[in-house]
Amino acid sequence: MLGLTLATANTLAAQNAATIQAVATVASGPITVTPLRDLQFGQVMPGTPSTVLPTAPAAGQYVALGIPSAQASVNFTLPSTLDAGPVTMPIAFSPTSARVGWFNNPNFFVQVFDPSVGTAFRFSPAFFGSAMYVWIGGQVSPAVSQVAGFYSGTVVLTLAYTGS
Amino acid sequence: MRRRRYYHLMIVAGLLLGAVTQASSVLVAPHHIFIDHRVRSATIQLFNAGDQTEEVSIETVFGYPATDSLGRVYLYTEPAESEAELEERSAAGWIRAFPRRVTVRPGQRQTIRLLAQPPADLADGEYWTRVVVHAKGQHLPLAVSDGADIEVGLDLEVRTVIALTYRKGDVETGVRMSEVAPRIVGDTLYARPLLERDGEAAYIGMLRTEVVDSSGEVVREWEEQVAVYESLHRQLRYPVTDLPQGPYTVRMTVSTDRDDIEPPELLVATPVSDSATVIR
Repeated sequence: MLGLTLATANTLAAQNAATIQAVATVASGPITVTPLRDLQFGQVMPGTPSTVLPTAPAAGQYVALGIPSAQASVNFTLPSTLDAGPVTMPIAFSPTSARVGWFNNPNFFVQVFDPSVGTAFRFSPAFFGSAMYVWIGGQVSPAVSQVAGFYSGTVVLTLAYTGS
Repeated sequence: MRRRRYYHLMIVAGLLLGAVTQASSVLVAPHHIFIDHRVRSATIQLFNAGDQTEEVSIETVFGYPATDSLGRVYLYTEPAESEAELEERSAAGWIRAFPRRVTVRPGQRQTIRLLAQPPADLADGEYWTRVVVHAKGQHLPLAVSDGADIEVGLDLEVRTVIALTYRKGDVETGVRMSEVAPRIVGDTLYARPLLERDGEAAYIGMLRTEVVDSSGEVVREWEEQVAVYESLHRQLRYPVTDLPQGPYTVRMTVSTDRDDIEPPELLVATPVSDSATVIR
């Protein structure tokens, strides 16, 4: 269902791209960033690290719409621990934990980057929907004595045009 | 008139995004705000195109695009309360957003007013800040299945950063370009021109790179938006697959030919060009 929805999204984005571009010409284009899917590790086992790759269905995913072909900086604010009340669990991100690309496919023409460093990337041309998809994975390391509970945290994506 | 255009824009984007996803989504427009000292105010338009209520906060930080030692572009920023606030160019300390926090329901449009309260002795010139729009939405369910498991999940949030330029009096801009030293390695053309602002105002423009063959024909060309607040020494990479072997001239031109910013907000300057020979 999600795939169908996003496939429709791509189609609609392409169909409406010309309109967005034309309006941007006279009204200083907008920017929209949408979290599509949270980063979900689901159930993990005490003492066993759990990794979600950016290509996995459980990876976090954003889509941004902006000015066609304009470059933007892509940066993350990342947690080092997740919390369940007063109890914490470490989380880590590797240099390959994030990807960015033009299409809703983390394996198709993407740039791999370190989410703790960030990168700069172009929005797709208008005929590809003026879009930018971003994926993020990570690794949690529950202790052997990790207390049961729901451990949560927040990932913040910061997007800024570099051409203005 | 502009407000009407924004409205139409938001409707179009809202319909698009509403069809795209059943998630949280806040449209922010425009992407670059200009405030004149005689007016001292401007607005940001927010539109919630998602199906969840959004909590949005607005803050200002001093910052501008810059390049690192490898030629990568990043947004240099400093918190407003830091020493950067004291920098002559920063407007972060005296631009205020009203409201600074707002809840935007699905389908709702929200106007954020930006009011400038500059120092009384502010000198003529251009001042910069970035406006950060932080949107929170799409929260995870807090329920745990049976209380005996370890469940892990992370919320995703968004910070959209847009430029704000404050001008007092007449300002001019220009740019100097040097170090155009292209090279072709494999199927990639590399160039790293040094762009330095010349004038009191930031240079907002386009960088066009053309590959010209021995007959004078342009055989490849690319364009990049550039914003030179201090200097940019950006590493550019362009594919030249299928380009026949031989000598070429790489011509780089910087101009203020931007279609996303309207005059008189867009400062016009004489184009600057430089070129160099490269062998494929």
